[in-house]
Amino acid sequence: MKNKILAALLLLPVVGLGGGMLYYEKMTHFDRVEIAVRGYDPKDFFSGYYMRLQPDWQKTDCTQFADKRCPQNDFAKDYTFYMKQEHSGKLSTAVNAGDVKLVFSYSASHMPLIVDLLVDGQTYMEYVTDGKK
Amino acid sequence: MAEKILKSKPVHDENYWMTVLLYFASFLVGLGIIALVAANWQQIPNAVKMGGALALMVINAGAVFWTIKADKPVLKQVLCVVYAFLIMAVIGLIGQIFQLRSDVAKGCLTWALLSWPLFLVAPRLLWLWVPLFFFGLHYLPPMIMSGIRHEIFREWETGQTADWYMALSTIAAYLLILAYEYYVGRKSETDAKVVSPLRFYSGLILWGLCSRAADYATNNYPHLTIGCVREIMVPCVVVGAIVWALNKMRNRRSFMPLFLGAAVAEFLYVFANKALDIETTYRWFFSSYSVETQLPFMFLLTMSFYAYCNKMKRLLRLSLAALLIWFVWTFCEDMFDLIPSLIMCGCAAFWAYKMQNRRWFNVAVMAAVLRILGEYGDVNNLTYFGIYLICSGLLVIVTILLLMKYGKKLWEKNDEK
Repeated sequence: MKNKILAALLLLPVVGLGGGMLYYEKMTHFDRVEIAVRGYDPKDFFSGYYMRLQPDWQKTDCTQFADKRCPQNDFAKDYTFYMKQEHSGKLSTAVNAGDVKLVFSYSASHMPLIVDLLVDGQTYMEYVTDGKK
Repeated sequence: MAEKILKSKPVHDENYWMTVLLYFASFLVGLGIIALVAANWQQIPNAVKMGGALALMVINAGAVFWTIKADKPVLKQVLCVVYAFLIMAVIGLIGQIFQLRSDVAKGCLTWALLSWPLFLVAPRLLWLWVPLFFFGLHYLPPMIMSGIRHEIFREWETGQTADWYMALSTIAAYLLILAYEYYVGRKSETDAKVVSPLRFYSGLILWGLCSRAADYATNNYPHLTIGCVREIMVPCVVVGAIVWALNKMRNRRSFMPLFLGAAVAEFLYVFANKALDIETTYRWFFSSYSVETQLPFMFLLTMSFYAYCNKMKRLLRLSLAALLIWFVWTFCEDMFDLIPSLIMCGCAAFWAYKMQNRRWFNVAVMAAVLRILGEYGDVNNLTYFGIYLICSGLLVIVTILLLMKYGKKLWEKNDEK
C-alpha cells in the first residue's frame, strides 16, 4: 500500500503536466482573432529567442469580436513570442516597418492563447523562409 | 571538550561539496545535449516533443521508485535531482510550445506544487523546493485576483490593477512572515527537525519581497520620490519591529528583522543608485542596477552578518564563499574583462594555501572556473551554446577530479612539513 502511494506521488508531476498539455491543446481550438502588435521596447524588443510584443488596439480590427468592441481587458499588456534567433534580423525589421499581427485562439471565458504571428498577411515562418517583404 | 570534538563525526567529508559540484557539472553536460537537440527543435512535431518529455518523466519516476526498492540512496538522490530539473524543463517546454507569457514566479509555483513529493523521497531537495515555493508565492495573489477580476469584477476593473496586485502580494508576504514567526515561536527550540531548514529559508521570503519592492519602486516611482521611501520602508520597519518584539517575548533569535533591515538597506541603495547615478559612474564595480546582482549581494551580506553575530561558523564560511563568487562575478567585461577576477581568485587560492585551508582553496578555484564559464555564457546560437555547455561541464568535472587527486597530494605534502 505504501509503495502504491509512493508510486502515485512520483507520477503526480507526469499527471499534472500531461493534464496541462491537454488543457492548453484544447485551448488552441477556439475562434481565431488577429491583434495588431508592435515591439514592446523599440530599443530591444528582441531578446534571445523571443520577441516582446504589445497589442496595438488602434490598428486592430474590432469587428472580429462578438459585440464589435475590442475586449482589451481580456488581453495582456505585452506578450512574448518564441522563435529561432536566426530569424531575428528579418523580424525586427518587419515589426518596425510592416503589418504585424498576433493570432490568438480566443474565447471570452478563457485566457487568449497565441497560435501564430502574421507578417504582411503571411505566417512568420512563410515570411522568413520565402524572404519576401 | 576536546575529546568530544575529536569523537564527533564531520557532517560531510572533505569531498562532499566537490561531489555536489560534480552533479552540477553532469547536469551542465545533460543540458548541453538538450540544447543541441533544441537547435533542430522546429523540425520536431509538438506531439513528439510533448510525448517524449512525458515518457522521459515516467522513466525517471520509475527509476526513482526502483532505487527506493533496491535501497540505493546515492543514486536515488541524484535521480530525484534530475527529476526535479526535468519537471522544470517540461514546464518551460509547455511555455514555449503554447507561447505562454514568461512569468518566472508562475513557473516556480507550478514546479513547487508538482514536485513536492520529491523532497519526501530526497529531503535535501527541500533546500531547492522551499525558496522556489516562496518565490512562486509572488504569483499567487495576482493569480487569485486575476481569476476574481475575470469572473466578477471585469466591468469594474480599470488599468490600475497591477498596483493592487503588487500591494496584495507584498501584504501576503508580510502576513506569511508574521504567521511563520508566530508558528516558530510556539514550537519547542529542540524541535530542530521541523524548525531548522524552514527557519533558514523563511528568510528568502524577504528575498522575494526585496524584488517586489524594487519592482514597485521602479514601476511606480521612476524618479524615486519621498512617497516611495515611505511606502516601501515603513512597512519593513514596522513588520521588523513586530517580529523583534515577538522574539523578545519568547526569548529566541530570528534573522527575520535582519532581512527586513536588508530590504530597507537595498531600497536605500536603489535610491542612492538613482540619485547619484552610481550605475553609470561605477559600472565596473556593480555591473548594473539589476535583481541579479543586487539581491544576492544583500542576501549574502545579511546572511554573513547573521552568521557572524550568532557565531555560526559553517554558515559564515558558506556565505563568505558565496560572496567571493558574487564579487568575482560582478566584474563585468566592459573595463576589466576576465583578468582581475582571476587575479582575485588566484590571491584567494594562494592565501588559502598559506593558511592550509583546503575548503577556501577549492572555493577560490571553483569561483575562477565559474567566472570563466560566465564569460562565454551569453551566446545566441543554440548549437554553439550546447557545445559550450558540454565543454563547460567537462571543464568543471576535470577541474574537480584534478583537485581531488593533486589537491590532496598538495595538502599531504604540506601536512608532512
